[in-house]
Amino acid sequence: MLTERKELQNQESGKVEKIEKRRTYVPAVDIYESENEVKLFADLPGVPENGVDVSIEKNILTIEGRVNFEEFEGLKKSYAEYGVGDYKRSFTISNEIDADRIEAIMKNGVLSITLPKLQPQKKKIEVKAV
Amino acid sequence: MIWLDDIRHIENGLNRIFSGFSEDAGYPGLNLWTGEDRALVTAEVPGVQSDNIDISMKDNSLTISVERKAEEISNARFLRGERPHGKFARTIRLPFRVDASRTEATFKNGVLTISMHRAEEDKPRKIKVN
Repeated sequence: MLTERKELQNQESGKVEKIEKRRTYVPAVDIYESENEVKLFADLPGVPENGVDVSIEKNILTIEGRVNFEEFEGLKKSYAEYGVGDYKRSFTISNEIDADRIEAIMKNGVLSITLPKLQPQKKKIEVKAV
Repeated sequence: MIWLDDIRHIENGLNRIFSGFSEDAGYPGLNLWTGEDRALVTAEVPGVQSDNIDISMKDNSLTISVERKAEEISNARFLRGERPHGKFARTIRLPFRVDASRTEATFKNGVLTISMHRAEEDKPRKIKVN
């Protein structure tokens, strides 16, 4: 686990090709499930608060992070152990999740998403007499 | 029967070898930028509190230790864990001795940046040829 490097996003997943030369990585996540909610934490180092995009369509939750590329004047990168790039990952969410109440917080390069589960509701259905 | 997981594992391994990044890296990965009299080290450590980061220098080596604590979640099941947790330390050799009093470290968006200046006594002296 400790020597695992960042995975490169697979380019052939049918998505639109990007013109710029930016790498996209798959961020590492931790997922917890409790009785009322599911919590997801994603490592997106280098991404500022306003560089994150979280969206949900049908049952797919997508996380995207755009990184600020670091440039240091007068210095050359002489040794690199990690690459700098954007992040993208999608998850299929179960029907138990209340999509309207999903919350996301971005801090220090960690994106925390809380996905509350739907509370059981008992509805009384009126039977009409015809 | 072909296991897609195994093929993906091989693919990741090959990607790592051909990515041009060092295989000796531990966690966190370090990038080194150098100039004539300046050196800069960056490390991606999202989610770490700045008081859990320890930086020490001796001669021309720099040691960074961090502690990544897992988020405190009560009564939850751990579904997926990909992010590293615990204490980590890395040491990197710099191309010259640095002046500890002129070293600055910043931590932004989960990226630690340590900026160092070459020690005066380590600068090459020009020798006049008579």
